Amino acid sequence: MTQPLVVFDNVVKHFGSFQAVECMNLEIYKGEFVAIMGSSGCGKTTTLRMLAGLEKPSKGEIRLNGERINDLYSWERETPLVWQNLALFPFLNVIENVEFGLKMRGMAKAERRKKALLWLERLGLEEFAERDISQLSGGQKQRVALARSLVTEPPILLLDEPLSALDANLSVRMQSVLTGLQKDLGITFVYVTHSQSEAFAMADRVVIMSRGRVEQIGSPQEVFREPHNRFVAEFVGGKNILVGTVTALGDASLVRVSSEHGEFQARLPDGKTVVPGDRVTVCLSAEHVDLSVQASRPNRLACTVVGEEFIGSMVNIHLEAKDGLELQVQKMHADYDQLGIRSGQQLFAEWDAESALILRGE
Amino acid sequence: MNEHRLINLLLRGYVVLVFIFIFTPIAGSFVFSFNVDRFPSLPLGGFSLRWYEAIAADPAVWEAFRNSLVVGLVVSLVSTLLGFTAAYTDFRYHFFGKSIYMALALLPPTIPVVIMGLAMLAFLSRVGLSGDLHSVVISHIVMCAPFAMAVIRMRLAQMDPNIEAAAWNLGASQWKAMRYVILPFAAPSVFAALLVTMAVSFDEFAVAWFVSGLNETVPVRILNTLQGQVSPTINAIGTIVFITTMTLVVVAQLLLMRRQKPMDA
Repeated sequence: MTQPLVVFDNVVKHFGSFQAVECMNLEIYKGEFVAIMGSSGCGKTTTLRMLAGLEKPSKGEIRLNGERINDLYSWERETPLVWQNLALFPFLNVIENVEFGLKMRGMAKAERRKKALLWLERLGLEEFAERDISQLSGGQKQRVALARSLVTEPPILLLDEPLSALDANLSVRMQSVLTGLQKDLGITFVYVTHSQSEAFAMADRVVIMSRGRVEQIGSPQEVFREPHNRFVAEFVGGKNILVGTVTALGDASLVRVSSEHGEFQARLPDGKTVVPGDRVTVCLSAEHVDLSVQASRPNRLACTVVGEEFIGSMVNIHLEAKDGLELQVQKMHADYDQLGIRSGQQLFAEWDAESALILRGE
Repeated sequence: MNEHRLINLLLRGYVVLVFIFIFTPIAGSFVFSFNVDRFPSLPLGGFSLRWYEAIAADPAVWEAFRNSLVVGLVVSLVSTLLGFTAAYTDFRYHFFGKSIYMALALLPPTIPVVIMGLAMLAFLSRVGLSGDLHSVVISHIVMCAPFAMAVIRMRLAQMDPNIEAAAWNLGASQWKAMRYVILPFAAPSVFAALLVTMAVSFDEFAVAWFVSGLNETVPVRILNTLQGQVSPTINAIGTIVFITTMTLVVVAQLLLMRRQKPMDA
């Protein structure tokens, strides 16, 4: 295994009595696209700022290329950050903004102009070189900020919700610009966002944080298919959560679970063991639940349709079981039309035993 | 809509009256400075530059202008430097008792000038620094630095605090960030502060009168002339002082209003 580019080794950060990050352990490798996500106040930005040298860890060690960087000032490390509000220099024009990092490193004027121009070309900004920052559109400013950070050819680029100010279309376009750049350059991107869609679309690995703690680290697929705990399941969305007690162990990884909503089978994730009597939390993806008028499978709940919402090509159907448990089911439009569902209708929500996953961390 | 027009008209009239009220004495002084007669009376006697010639021939007036210029230059440089550092401290740092610090820093202009003058005289003579031109310089710095701070602080308040951190993050040490980011951003307000403080110092009479001893500044010279005689040369000096001060303040205002142009850093 190669040496990780960045290591967070039991890093703690508190501001006064507020624990912003508690015990962060994370390894980031060369050429990886890592997204750190969570809702606001979860410590994701603090984590990024510690890496950028803008906050000092209270405890623990951050290493870059194997060297402790805790005590290095921001200007002593090669960890450029793309700011959420971009923080471009308003009194400098586009090319002067891009040159800034080179100028601070003492590069001669002619040389840094040339380099900055190359980056402007690369990002399709060469015609704006002499423009004022205030004359640019949001997307153009974004690319200036990228060029400004990349011009010094750093081994890593930090991004703090850079797309949050853009409209949805532009944001998707910038996502492909970012992933393209990251692949071409082969450098590490650490991307902080509260948007699950951004993180899942771009990242090789995602780090999900809540209240200063890392809840799960893994590829988007892993996190989506096998959330470790209830927080992650709810955060990635489209999940139904059922709580119950293990009544019997079955063949392979299937166990019987008894809940107040009824009895059903659920699957254990690899490496987790339970004994009868254990409390477990079961996660059921909305897209794995089928609806039928006639009960046909053993794992089912009798429900009433309470509402639908249309999201792009999908429909989210909201159900309520007899005891008030809310379930959501996701279907393609075509399937939804075939079912001919209407509000208030009684039907069965059914699923395969394999689809009901017992959460590892609960 | 007619009512609105009437109110509009009345308000405009009111504004014009206020300006007349403020500027009539100054305009009078201006007009009579070019009047040939010894005593200000209407109708005007005729155009003349004799009062300007009289002050040009008076070495005490030259001395006073020289003193005011020296004091104004030193005061504007030092108080702008002090004002900038105080404003930057406010922008950059959060610390216990900051509001008290800011209140103290802004206090001097609120102290009645006579009290200020007396206090300055008492203090400076106690430490053996009174009665000289540098006494005026020290006192004026105390009075002008808050103005410089207020002007520069307004500008820094418009600055995104992330910009400085962005500069650090791009490899600028704190000094370089100051040199290449904070100062260029604050530049218009720094120039404005230089001019405003110079204008305040140039105008200031009471404190200078207390501490200057034999080194008269222009306003002190005016009073001393007035005490001896009622001479139209006062009008001439007053006109020059007014034009100088107004020029400084107007240029400062223009600097602050000017749209930030990109500059070659």
